[in-house]
Amino acid sequence: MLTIDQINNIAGVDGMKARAYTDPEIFDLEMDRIFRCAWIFIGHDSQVPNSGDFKRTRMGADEILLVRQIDGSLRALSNNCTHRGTRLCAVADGNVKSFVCPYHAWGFALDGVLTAVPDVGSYPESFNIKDPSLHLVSAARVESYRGFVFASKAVTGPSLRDFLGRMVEAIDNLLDRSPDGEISIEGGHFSVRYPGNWKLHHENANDTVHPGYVHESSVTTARQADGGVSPQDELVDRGQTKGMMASNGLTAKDWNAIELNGLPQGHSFMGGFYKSGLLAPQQVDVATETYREALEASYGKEKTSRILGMDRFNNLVWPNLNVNAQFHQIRVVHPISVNETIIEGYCFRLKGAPDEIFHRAVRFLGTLVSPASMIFSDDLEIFGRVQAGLEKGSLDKLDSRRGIETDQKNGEALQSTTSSELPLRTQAKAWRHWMSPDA
Amino acid sequence: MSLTQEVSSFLTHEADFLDRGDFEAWLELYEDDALYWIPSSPDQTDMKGQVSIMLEDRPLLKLRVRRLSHPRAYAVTPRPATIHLIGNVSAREEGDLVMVSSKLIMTQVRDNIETSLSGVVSHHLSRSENGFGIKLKRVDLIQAGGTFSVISVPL
Repeated sequence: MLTIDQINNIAGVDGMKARAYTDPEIFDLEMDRIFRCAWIFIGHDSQVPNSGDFKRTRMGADEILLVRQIDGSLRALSNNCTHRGTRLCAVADGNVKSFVCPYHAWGFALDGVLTAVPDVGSYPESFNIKDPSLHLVSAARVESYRGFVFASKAVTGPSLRDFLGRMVEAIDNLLDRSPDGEISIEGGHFSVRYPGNWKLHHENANDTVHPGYVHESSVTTARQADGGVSPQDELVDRGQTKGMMASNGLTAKDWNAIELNGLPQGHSFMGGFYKSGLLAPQQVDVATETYREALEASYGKEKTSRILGMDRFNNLVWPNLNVNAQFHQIRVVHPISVNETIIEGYCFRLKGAPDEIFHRAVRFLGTLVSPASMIFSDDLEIFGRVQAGLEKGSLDKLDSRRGIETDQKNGEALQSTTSSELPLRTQAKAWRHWMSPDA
Repeated sequence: MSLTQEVSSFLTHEADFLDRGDFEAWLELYEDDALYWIPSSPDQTDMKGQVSIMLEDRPLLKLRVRRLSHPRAYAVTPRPATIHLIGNVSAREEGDLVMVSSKLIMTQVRDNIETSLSGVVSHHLSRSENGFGIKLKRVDLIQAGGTFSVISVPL
C-alpha cells in the first residue's frame, strides 16, 4: 500500500514517475481508488432508453451492466453471478426482463436482486435468497448530468455536479447545439485498442505541441493533395477528411495561441483549431444555414451565436471522458491492464438539426477514431512507443514542466499563455488527490 | 480460362501489390470513380448515417497511399510485413460489370507480433482492353463491431 508521501512522489508537480505507467500494483490501486471512487462515465441515456434495456460496459477493470430500471432510473450492476462468478451477459446490449445466469439459472431482477435459485430446497437454512450479499453488486451512486451517466462505487464523495465543475459547460453546449435540446448516440461506434497505459490518452488529447510532429505525415500529404474531386465525393466526404488532416498543421505560434484551461477537479479543455474547410466555425453552406435557422427559431439570434461560437475542441473530463461538443463527439477511456487500453468513440445526432449535420459528425468520427484513421493511428502508435520506452528503458521520471511558470489564474482555473503542459499537471494533481489513502 | 480463374488471377495480383508495399501500383487498379469500403458493422448499407472503418474515394485512397510512404508516418514506420491470402472466389457477370465474392485472411507482423484480420470481400470490376478495373471494393471484417488494434495498411 502506497503512503501519501509515495503518491506525491510518483505524481510530482513537474512530472510523473515512469512506474505510474508500468507498475501493475499501481494500476490495481488506480482501479480501486480512481475507477471505483471517482465519478466514472459509463454511458449516455440514449443508449438505454427503455425499461429493461442494458449495455455491457466497464468501470475501470470491472465489467458492469448499465441497466434501465422499471421506474426509469439507472443502475450499474456487476456482470457476474454471485453463485460461481460466471459472466452473466456476453452480448454488448439488449433488452431483458431479468438476468438469468447460463450456468445454474440463478435469476436476478433488473435491480440486481436475486429472485430465483433452482432447487433452493437443497440449500441449508443459512442460505437466504434475500441476503444482499447474493445480489449483483450495484454501484453505490449512479447519477446523470443531462443524459451523461456517471457511476461511483463509493458511498460518499463529491456530488457529480461538483465533480464536473465547469465541464458542464461542454455538455450544456452540446445539448444547446440541438434545436430541440435533445441528443442521442447514433451512427455506430468504434472500439480501438492500444498497447499503452490509460493515462496516455488524456495526456495527449490536450497536448498542443505533438500535432506538428506526430501528425506531420497526414498534414503534409493533405496539403500536397492535388485537389482532384471524384464523383463519389458528395457521398463520401466533401473534403472533410482532408481538411481535418490539414488542420493539425498550425504554426507553433498559432498553437501557442490556442487556449488551454485546467480545472481543480483534474479536467481540462482546449480551444478550437479548425480554421478553414467544411468544419470551420465560419463555414457557410446550405446545411449550416438551415441548421442555424433551426437554432435561431428555438433560441433567437443572440443565443444561437453564443452556442455556435463556443469554439473548443477536446473537453477532457478526468479520468475517462472526452467531450467534443462542437463536433458532437465523445471518446471514452477504458483501462484494461497497466499496458493496455481501449478507446471507444461515439457521435451524436442533434434532434431538430438537418441530416447533413449528423452525417458530418459521423464522418468526423470515422476520420478521427476509426482503427484505420490516418490521424489517430499515429497517436496510438506513439502511445505504444511511450509505453515500450518506459517499460524497457531506464527513465525514472517524465517531464511536464512546459509552460509551468507562465500559466495564469483565471477564476478557479489555470489558463495557458503558451502550448503549456498544464493539462498534464492538472491530471497529475487529480491523480494525487484520488490516489491518496484518505481521499 | 474461366471467369473465376481470370478474376482469381486479378485478385492475386492486387494482393501481391499490397504485400510488396507497392501501393502506387495497387492504386492504379482502381477506377476514377471507385469506392473502397470497410463497413463498421455487418450488413451495413448506410454510408452517410453509419460510421465506416474506411470509406474512401480515389482521391482519398491516393492521399492514404502517399501518407504510407511518408518517412514520419509512424504507424507504418516500419511498414508491417503482410500476407493477403485470398480464397473461395466466385464471380458472375452483371451487365458491364463482374461481381466477385472472395474471402480474405490478412496476416501481419509488426514488432515481432503476428496478428490477423479476416473478412468477406466483394469486388465490382469493370473490363477494358487493359484488363479489370476496380469500381467497388467492400471488405466485411468478421470482427466488425468489435475491438480493433490499428489497421495501418489497406486490406
